[in-house]
Amino acid sequence: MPDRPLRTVLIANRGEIARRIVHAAHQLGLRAACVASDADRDAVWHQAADVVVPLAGSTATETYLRADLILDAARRVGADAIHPGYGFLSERPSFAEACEAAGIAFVGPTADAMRRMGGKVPAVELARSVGVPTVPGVSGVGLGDGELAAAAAGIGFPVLIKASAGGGGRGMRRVDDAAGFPDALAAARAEALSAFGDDTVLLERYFPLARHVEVQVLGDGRGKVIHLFERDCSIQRRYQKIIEEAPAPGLDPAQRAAITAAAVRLAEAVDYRSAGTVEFLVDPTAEPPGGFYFLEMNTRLQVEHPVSELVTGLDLAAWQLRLAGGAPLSIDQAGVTLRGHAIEARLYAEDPSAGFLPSIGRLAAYRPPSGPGIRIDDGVAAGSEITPHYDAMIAKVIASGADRSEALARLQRALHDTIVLGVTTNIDYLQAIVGHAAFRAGDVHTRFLDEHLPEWHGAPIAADADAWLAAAAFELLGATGGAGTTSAGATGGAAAGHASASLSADPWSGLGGWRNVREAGR
Amino acid sequence: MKVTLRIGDAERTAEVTRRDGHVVVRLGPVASADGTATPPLAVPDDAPAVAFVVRPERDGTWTLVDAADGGRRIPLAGAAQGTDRQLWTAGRTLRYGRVVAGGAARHAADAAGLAAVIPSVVLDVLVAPGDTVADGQKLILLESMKMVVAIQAPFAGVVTAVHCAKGEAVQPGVPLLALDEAPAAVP
Repeated sequence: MPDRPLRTVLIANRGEIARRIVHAAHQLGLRAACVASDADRDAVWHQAADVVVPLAGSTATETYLRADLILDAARRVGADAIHPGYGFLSERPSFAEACEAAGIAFVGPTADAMRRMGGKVPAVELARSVGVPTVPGVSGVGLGDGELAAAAAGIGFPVLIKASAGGGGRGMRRVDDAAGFPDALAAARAEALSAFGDDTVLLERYFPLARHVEVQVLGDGRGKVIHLFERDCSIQRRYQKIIEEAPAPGLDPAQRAAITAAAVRLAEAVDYRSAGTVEFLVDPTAEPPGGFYFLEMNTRLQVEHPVSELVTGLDLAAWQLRLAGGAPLSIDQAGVTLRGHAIEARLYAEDPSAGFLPSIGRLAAYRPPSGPGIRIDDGVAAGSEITPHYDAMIAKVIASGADRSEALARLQRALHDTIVLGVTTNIDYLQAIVGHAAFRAGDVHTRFLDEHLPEWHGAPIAADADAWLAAAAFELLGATGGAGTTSAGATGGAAAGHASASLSADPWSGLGGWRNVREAGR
Repeated sequence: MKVTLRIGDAERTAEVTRRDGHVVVRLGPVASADGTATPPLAVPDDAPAVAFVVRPERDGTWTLVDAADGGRRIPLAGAAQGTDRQLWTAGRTLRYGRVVAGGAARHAADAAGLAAVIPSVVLDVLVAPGDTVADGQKLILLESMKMVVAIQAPFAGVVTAVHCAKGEAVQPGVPLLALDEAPAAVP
């Protein structure tokens, strides 16, 4: 890590997070360099960058995941730091080492901290060693059936039996009482043996109701760690976070103090440098309240970091860059205060009526919302392509307010004002979630969507009187192109002239794809 | 112009015209696709006319301002692909279709018949928007694999849009031209 101010940072990422980090770099007076795959050649976030290095190929494997190409690009632009963003190379200790070996600061934790916290098993062991609670469980290595049954009783039912070699839910059984244990164990062992060739199982306490609460930490790599309070990310669809908020609703001050202290303790144990997130399972049914268990640590900046920035007023990406340049962490815990509430909704190009498959295509129109308390982190504009090569996230719509209800009202209005045409989006789904009485009440948990919105395949397609009028008017204003042009000539109205002028320069006509008549001439 | 739109299960014909700087819409009754009435329904002579001033907004949307009741405003943005539509209005995005002359059969003919079957190059465009064409008339000449094929009108009508140009490479299934069926003879 160079102990001199950074001058140029290369951002080894794409999309909204690349733009986000470019802005953070500029705010600190640094040059910002981006890399661009072939598919991202004309991407809008490059406009903000000072220099863009092309990478041949379109898939992530050919481009953003190529440590050697990224390092070459960094050398070419004279970068003294590389920010990996999230995903891609962000959690690869070997990449962090390669950067340091090349004399380039890796904007993130040390490779050693990544290794110790990145692997689930060593991280859990480390957590136990510093007194951070972990999910009660036993490793079944070397244990017979009788010993496992006794262990299950010790953990307390319901218990989850998992194949040690497992994954994907195979060899997994939930057991609700001691009587059902032997049969479930036999079934899990048989399934594990056939799937993985190994019938070793482990036991874990099962939580029918759980919340996902995570603590944002920031460390200087010299033993000082502070936290930026917690986020609740319980609203998930197939382990994919959709809605995140800070602070966690309903967490009382004692719980907050305990969970944030645990996160700091853990980060201190590895002299954590940069921004990181310690994830916990919170048991909302625990008596007395406060039951939380360490799950894992994400050793990088997270997608949902903006909500923590909005409630603390601290810029996490900028702090990462300062710390990577060797600057001291000049804020103390007492200086971090929690103000108001923030909620983020992830806007995806995906089709709820088609099993939430990504909706690939060109954005014929894109109008992000704006207004007081609204922050948009995006990497698209009208005309941008949602390609099959990368994540189909369009934007993060983030609302903040003096309290949760104000933030929620602003988020609902922001989603109402968001226009995305040309692809199908999850906006209606997001609205259904944040408009749900249980969400409004702060009653969130990881099974929220299964419980409250099962089988949700899209809002019913129906038009009220105004929508019929708008649809009819749209036919004249330009939907059919030719008709709009002839009508424009006939009446010569201002609106008609506008529509036809746009039409003539329409880049979306011709080879097909969605045409947006109004956006076209811009 | 007269258009029939299908939004969800409902189908409705509208008459949209420009008059005195306004866009005037008259809506016919709603027919359910599975209902008793057979679409497309005509717009009755006594259907009320709603006149709008159209304001093109700086952000690329339009606002329809009711000319009689200035307080009533309908914001909208739309995109079109062939006969498919996406419309944002007042917080909702609707995906729906324009019904081309006579419903599903013609709809399919429009989508399939007015597109290339295999990747091709446009050799010539024989018509322009506004042209009246006869059933079977050649509209576009395509060349692929050294063969020339013509796209012919599946029915008599008026060319409302041409989405390709001479010399352009086109992909299969992408509509190259839009055709409105000629109005049926009024009894």
